[in-house]
Amino acid sequence: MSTLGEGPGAEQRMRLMREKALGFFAVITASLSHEINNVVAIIGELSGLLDDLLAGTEKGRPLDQEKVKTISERIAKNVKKGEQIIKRLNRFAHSADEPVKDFDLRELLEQVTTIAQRLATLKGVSLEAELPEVSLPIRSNPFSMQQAIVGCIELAFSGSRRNDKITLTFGKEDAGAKITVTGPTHDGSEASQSMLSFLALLMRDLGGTMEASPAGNDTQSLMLHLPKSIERPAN
Amino acid sequence: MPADKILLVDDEEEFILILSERMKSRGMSVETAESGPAAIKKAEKQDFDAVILDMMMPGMDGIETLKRLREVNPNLQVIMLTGHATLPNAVEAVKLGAADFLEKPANIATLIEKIKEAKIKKMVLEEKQAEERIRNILKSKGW
Repeated sequence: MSTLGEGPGAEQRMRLMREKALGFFAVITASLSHEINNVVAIIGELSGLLDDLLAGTEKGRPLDQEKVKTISERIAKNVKKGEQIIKRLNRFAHSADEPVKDFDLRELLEQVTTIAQRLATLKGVSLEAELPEVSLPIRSNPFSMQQAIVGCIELAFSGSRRNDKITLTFGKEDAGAKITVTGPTHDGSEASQSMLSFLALLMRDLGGTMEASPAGNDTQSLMLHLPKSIERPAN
Repeated sequence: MPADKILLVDDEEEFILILSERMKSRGMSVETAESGPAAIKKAEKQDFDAVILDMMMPGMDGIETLKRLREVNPNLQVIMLTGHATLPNAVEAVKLGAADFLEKPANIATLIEKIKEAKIKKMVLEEKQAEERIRNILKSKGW
């Protein structure tokens, strides 16, 4: 099988891959930075509340120690929340460090579910990972794989209504692994068709394939079949 | 002088809880809503001097909520609060009649200043409308 960087139209394909990868990176980092901003805003208001209490004491009001304790606990809680988001952002950014690496598919799916959670919330859709309690070591491109999974989630968003559900799972296959994203059937728009073509290209780059099958009324499963290992660097 | 009546709209429950407490301690009367539809319901029932509205909310976003709020009350002064203070968002919000724009996290002193400005704008608008109504009555009655 030829790589994406070979044959007719190679240059356009490579440009498309680069543009899409950058777009994906931008969407995820923007979303995570928004989450960080929300946490910072809350901590900022809590600090302001402490200032207000102190200003009150300067005017002779007694300091409400219980309230100070509650504020301190809330600050600690939000600092922890912020740390977790930063950890996710950091892990996501480092997933682009190397074109091929060894990782656990289960951990990757957990990470994708968390980083795409806010995108789902904004769509009014629930996103859940229903993952088997087993690790599945794989050698592939973690960044492209996250891009493919989020692409499937975005396709489901296109046909979603409020309170719809999208689930992610994975399983072992003879040749490697299968990731299944089940959710609303995509809306069939030009953008969705274009996303489907791109995902097929991305999966080819990952040495795998993609298939779609109906999973019920207005619901479909998008399945990503991945080899256990890709040795050449993905494009 | 009656307390400034503010509607605070944001899907971050903890954020609006703390901010409303701080605003109340500054003598303001604050109502909160955690979604666009909830804010519209409140605006249909009560008049507010200003609405502080988050841009990014699940379901009905800030821009859509702004449009609907202005339909309910065209005089309503809405200050958009956003973590994404991008120019296109600001331009769209202003085109739709937003009174002002403030980036989150916002300084409370700046926010209060903007609320005061919004309240004055609303009063001027309402006074003009009242004058217009009186002029029309005088004209129609031929006094």
